[in-house]
Amino acid sequence: MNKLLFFTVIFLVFCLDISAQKTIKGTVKTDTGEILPGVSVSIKNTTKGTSTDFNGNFTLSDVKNTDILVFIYLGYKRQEVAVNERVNFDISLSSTAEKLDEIVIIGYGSSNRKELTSAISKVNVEDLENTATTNFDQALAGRVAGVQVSSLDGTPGEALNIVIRGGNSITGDNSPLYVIDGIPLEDFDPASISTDDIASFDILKDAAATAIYGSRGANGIIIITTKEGRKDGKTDFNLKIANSIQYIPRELEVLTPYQYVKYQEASSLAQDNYSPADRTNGFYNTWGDPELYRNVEGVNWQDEIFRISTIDQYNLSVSGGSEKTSFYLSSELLDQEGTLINTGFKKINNNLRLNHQISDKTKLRAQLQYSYSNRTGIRIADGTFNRVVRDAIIFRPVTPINDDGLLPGGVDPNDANERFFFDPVKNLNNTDRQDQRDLIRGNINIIHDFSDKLSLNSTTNYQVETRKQSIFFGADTQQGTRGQNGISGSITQRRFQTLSTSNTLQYDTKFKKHKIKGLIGFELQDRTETLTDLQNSLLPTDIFGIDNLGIGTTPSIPDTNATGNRLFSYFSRLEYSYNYRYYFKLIVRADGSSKFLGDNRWGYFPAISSAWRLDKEEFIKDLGYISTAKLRVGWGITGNNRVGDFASQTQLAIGSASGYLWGSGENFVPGAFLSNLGDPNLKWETTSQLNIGFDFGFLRDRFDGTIDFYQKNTSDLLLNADVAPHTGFSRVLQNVGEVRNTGLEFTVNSKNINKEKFKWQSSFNISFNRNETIALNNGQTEILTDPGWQPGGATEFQYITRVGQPVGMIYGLRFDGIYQPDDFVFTNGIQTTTLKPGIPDNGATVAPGSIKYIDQNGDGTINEEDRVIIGNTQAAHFGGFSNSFNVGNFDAQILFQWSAGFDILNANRAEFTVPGARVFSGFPELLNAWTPTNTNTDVNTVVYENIFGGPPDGNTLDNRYIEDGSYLRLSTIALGFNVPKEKIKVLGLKKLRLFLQAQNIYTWTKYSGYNPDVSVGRFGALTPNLDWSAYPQSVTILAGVNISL
Amino acid sequence: MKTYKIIFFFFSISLFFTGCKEYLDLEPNSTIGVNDFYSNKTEAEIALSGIYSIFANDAVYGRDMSIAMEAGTDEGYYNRRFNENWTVGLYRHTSADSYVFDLWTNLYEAINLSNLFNEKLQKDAFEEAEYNRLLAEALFLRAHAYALLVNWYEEVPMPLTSTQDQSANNLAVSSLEIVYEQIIKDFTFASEHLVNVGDPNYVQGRATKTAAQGLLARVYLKMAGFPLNDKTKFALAKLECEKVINSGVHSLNLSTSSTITDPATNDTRIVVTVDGYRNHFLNYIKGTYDINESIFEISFKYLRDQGLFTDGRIGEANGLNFNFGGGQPGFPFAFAGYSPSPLLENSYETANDSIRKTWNLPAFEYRNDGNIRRVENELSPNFAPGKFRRWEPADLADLDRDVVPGSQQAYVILEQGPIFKNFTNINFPVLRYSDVLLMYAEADNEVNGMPSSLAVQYLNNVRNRAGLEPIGIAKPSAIASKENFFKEIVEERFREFAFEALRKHDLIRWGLLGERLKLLEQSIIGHPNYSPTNANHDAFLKASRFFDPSKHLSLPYPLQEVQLNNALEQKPNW
Repeated sequence: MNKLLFFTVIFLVFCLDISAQKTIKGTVKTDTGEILPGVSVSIKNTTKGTSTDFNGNFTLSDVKNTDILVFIYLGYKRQEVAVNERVNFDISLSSTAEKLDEIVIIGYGSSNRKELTSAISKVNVEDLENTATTNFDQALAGRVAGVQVSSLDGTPGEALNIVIRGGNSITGDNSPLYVIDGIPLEDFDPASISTDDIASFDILKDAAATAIYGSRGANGIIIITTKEGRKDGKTDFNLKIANSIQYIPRELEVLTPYQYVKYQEASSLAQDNYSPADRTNGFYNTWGDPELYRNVEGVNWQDEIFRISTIDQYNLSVSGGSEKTSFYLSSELLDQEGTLINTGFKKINNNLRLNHQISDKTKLRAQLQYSYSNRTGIRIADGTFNRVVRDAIIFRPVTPINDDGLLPGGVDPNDANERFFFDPVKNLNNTDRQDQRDLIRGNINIIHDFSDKLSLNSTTNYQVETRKQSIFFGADTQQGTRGQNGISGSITQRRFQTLSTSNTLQYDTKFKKHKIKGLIGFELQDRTETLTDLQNSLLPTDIFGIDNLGIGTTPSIPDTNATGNRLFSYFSRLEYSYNYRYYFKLIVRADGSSKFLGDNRWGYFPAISSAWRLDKEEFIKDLGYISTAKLRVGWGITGNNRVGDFASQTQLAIGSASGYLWGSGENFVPGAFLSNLGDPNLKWETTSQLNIGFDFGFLRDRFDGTIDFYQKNTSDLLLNADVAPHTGFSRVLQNVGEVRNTGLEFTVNSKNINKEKFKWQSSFNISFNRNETIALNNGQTEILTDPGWQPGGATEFQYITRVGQPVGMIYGLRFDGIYQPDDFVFTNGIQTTTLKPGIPDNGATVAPGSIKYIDQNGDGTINEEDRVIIGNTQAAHFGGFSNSFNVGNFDAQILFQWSAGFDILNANRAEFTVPGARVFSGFPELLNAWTPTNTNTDVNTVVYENIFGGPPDGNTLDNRYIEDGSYLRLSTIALGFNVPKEKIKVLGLKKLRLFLQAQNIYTWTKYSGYNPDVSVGRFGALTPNLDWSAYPQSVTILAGVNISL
Repeated sequence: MKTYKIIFFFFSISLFFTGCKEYLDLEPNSTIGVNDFYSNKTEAEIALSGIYSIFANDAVYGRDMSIAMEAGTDEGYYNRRFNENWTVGLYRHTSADSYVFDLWTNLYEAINLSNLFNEKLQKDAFEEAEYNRLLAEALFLRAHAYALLVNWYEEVPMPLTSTQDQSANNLAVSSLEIVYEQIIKDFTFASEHLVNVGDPNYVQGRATKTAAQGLLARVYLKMAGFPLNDKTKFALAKLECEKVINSGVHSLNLSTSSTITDPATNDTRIVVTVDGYRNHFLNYIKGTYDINESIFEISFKYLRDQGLFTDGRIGEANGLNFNFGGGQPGFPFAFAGYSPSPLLENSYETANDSIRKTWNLPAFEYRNDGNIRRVENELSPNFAPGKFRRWEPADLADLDRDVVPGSQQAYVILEQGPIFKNFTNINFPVLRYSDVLLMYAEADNEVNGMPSSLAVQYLNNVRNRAGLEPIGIAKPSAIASKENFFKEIVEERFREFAFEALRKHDLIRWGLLGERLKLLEQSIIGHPNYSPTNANHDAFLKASRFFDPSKHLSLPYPLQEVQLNNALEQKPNW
């Protein structure tokens, strides 16, 4: 090659004088002014050429005026310059490796932030990395306006609930679509990528942005791109080691041993109707003098089940390569113990990314990812009956001096009604639950530039995930000891496979002041899912655990299932801008889905948006201090297609859920039932969204910000809608109903101090969203939901979704005090349990000391008709406030996050503050139970005149248990110290960073539960903000070191 | 130019992928479309099993309709004072009540599946007789579902074709006449095409010709009473009973008895040596079909250990208290939430009916200390019905003995199959031969204005099996007039069918429910053990206290139905 070059140069020298040619010279720099050595300089359509020297200079002789110079340098845009009369050339090349903080990923492409016409927020990836979290979603709350991130509860590793701009769907899924390295993925598990591998994180919020994802865009899109290798011939090894401790910040206050004994004494006396008899005598015989327990320490069951736990975390990455070929390899290992004993989360992520420049026009990018995760321990938010946190609260803290034959905690082994109460420590320690996920994701991406204007981008992705969920109940668990299946185990294995390809052609051109960018593409996706389920019960021993279920004697019938769906899409985007002032964008996507039939198979999703950069206008420029001013308006239609694969087809199912016995031996005959009433007209849930936004910046963007107003109307809701049950169905999935979300988002960033040695930046965002149910099915005005947290008992609708109100409001009775003797009739001077006329009962027989409710309809009793909305589950506003500092080698980040003006259904209080005849403990309110001498109270009596004072089944929820959940949380503190380079040079290190981070540090709230960020209701948007025996959130404090060499 | 070529090429690729339009045509793998089924005998049987299965659900014969909703008559009451879980039995339900909703929903699910069966069964895939037999079975089940619906809700919407889509939401109620017309039509078709016991095609447990006739007789009797009061239907009821009786395939599970004369006092008494009543019910408990007397029953079997849900709650929710063993597998737990009324006990005693009293009201329990005890007090919550008992004392002498500390008194588990706490193997009768006999007697009395000799004979057949003397001897006045004979029928049905989920609708059609509930209240308050300050006793009075004749002779329409069916109005008062 060098020889060839040599000869060429010699040849050129010889030719020098032959014709009217000249010698030219020049310098090549980057657009930011740095010198570029080694740039290829050639004359178009000839073999003539040279390259720049060490100082970026070049000389080329024998150049004709008609020649065109071509400058090529990897990583920079090719540039052609006509020679004409010039002899001196100062060339500046602009980089193709665009700087990530200015570039926003918009789906099938990217855009400069200044040129956006829609609402897209970018998350600073370093901020996510610098948090004491295990998955990236845990670090997201409070960072982005309009994005509400909430936990279901504190279960380790569990994916969080992310809702962008308010929930559209009532019975459907409101979580956003994830696009990872260009591929839209359903069921994306945040644990499956390492936070440290994320290169950019963008959130598409409005329809003008998300319409490019059509039928999957309505809930917003989170686009994540992962890191690539270095291209400068150097290699980085990066090792991060971090260790954390976690603890729950507070325990719920329960009765102390002395209080508990006093409570039992009072309860016994009440049960004897205040003349000491069997109960009272029994109490003293068992317990003796309550004063004996005054200083007894007792057992704090919460201390028994919670612990200070640790997280070990290791990240290793190697990044290297050349202009032509580069790679990024990373590996993450994370091992988390839960703060609840025998729970935990473990993950291993391996990621290999390879980039290769096949030719100067063709680039290959490939990725292979393997991820493993395992969430272990009882799912404490599952199941109605088994609740370890409940048991830890109600178990008595002290045992009597004389044995009363009860098990630890006060469970009566002979009382069948108490069989669901079980020593929570044993339950936790002997239940082996695992949720193991193995995910392999492979991705090949080819980018070919046909010219500097036209390029092809083709990505193909294959992903397979196996989720193996197993649960094993050992002998010493509730199920093992008292359950019908005894020692038993089950394994459910699901396999998800996704094959997809997405291909785009992009055309990019400029002429004069016009800039046009066009994109067309198509995408295919094929998903299949299979399920295998097996179970065995009544195992003779638990010594083998889940690993030898064959020793059980009563296997259940194995179950298999297979399903799948396909999506085929065309899409196009046209962008036009004039003179960097006026921007227009048009998107159309057509999605065809196997989930829908006939004419509804194809859906069309258009969006249009425009922006006007006022800051380019003279009258703004003249003001001087305004550096950014841009008005954006956008409107579009997007969809949600998250329904069962065959929801539009009427199907008969045959399975274990249905079947009957006949014949002389009562033989089982499987039965067919209609598993689904297919609505052949089923189609996408349609959201139309209008967004008006304004971006501003002052003083060269030292202060900048964004205001967005949006209105989203979701119609044709994919509602699992109530139907008239005479149809043979009680619910059918169909497109009915309408929900509206209206909101305002405000973000402001400020570079308060921006000096070499001291930087201070602040960022603040606040969002307001109003959610309203506009219509439901067939004139239906409300959907009532029983969250079903109370075991047994009557149906009690504690949530309501009513037209004109937000989705999922808390619905219950209004507390009206406690019945007092005055409320009852006296006959012959003796009080009876007959109420005075006009005073309603509470739905059951009442006596003084019973709970009284407001009889809304005045019919003299309390039932469903007296329920009203007693709690608003929608936050009035939420947001975050972060500050970051750089002082010399130190850096710091502090994030506050809040959510305000919403209510929580505190089911713990509804259960643990109601005195009952059982020996169980509870919250200190129990001490304040009504007695004939303690009448000024809100707590019912245990029993009076043989009438139990607690609420009757079906009438248990009243406004006493609805609490304001507003909170402000010091969410993140991160401190880092980069050891000065000169000190680590001797060690051969490039970088040595020490850091200390804390997450979830302190929460200011009036809420009395563990944590206001809780929602364990099992019906999604219909039952939000339910706190019932949930896994408390933990405080995490992390210390770590990051070494690069 | 080149650009266009590229774009053309690009689209060619994309068209290659979708050139086949079928790319987006996917069919479910684990379920099947309704048009691809019902094409051979196996599929038809699976489809029928699916319909039967609904009648065995908890909401229907599994528990709610057969036990919880039937409480609140002169037979007995829900006995818990802490809660009002059996709302319908306490007359405390609203239109949003889950019993009101679940029964409705389940019966209509069965109706929809029957309608679908009717539409989709492929005629040319079967011989005509087989086709008709299969269809008859589906229509039998549809007719029974409608009969139960009109019993409970009176006028109801009557879809006769399977639900296609949402447009089915709005359907007005049909008048009682129209619904009954359809029920009669379906039962008649069923009685024409179903086989009888003994036919080579007969399968135990499945609907038969006589089952269709007998249930049709029940429908006619209902039509003759409240609310239609169409007296002409008595003759038709009688006719259908006749068909069953004359078919010759049914008989009572007879008792053998001998008359013994006490040499000392010269009094005679009947001693039953084989107790047919007991033996008959042991068949339900053991899950063996007593095909002579049991004309139609619902089968239950505990197969939960195999992941199948074919069990019921019969004998548990209405069982003899058994609290030993902490609800562990193998112990025949029963929670005795249902207490028989003092009226029932009085009726047995007045009639000297010891066979049926012993079976239905054995008055014993197994306590959690291992002791078998008598329940002497009729006002104890542990006083429970014994008709569908899961267990019995091994030695009746234990009733009067205390348990030796550290040991337990022996009991016998009567139920066959795995014994689990809340779920039982016990079948539930829908139609028994004695019911046909008594329906004949009742209809005949109304038709003739006096009981005919055949009516008296059939009543005596039932009495005889219970070890009672012929009515003409025991109580001559009872056959002296139509009114007296009717009263005797009311009492006889009380004693014979206690806890078989027939009483509430008998009383409603006779117009006696309110009256009998008043009697119930008096019998509790007048009971020597009654104490006005005893909260248990107070709770027993709830059913009679809350009963409102203007609302409680039928159930309200479920709230969800009212909300979504724009062609249907809620009943007044609800």
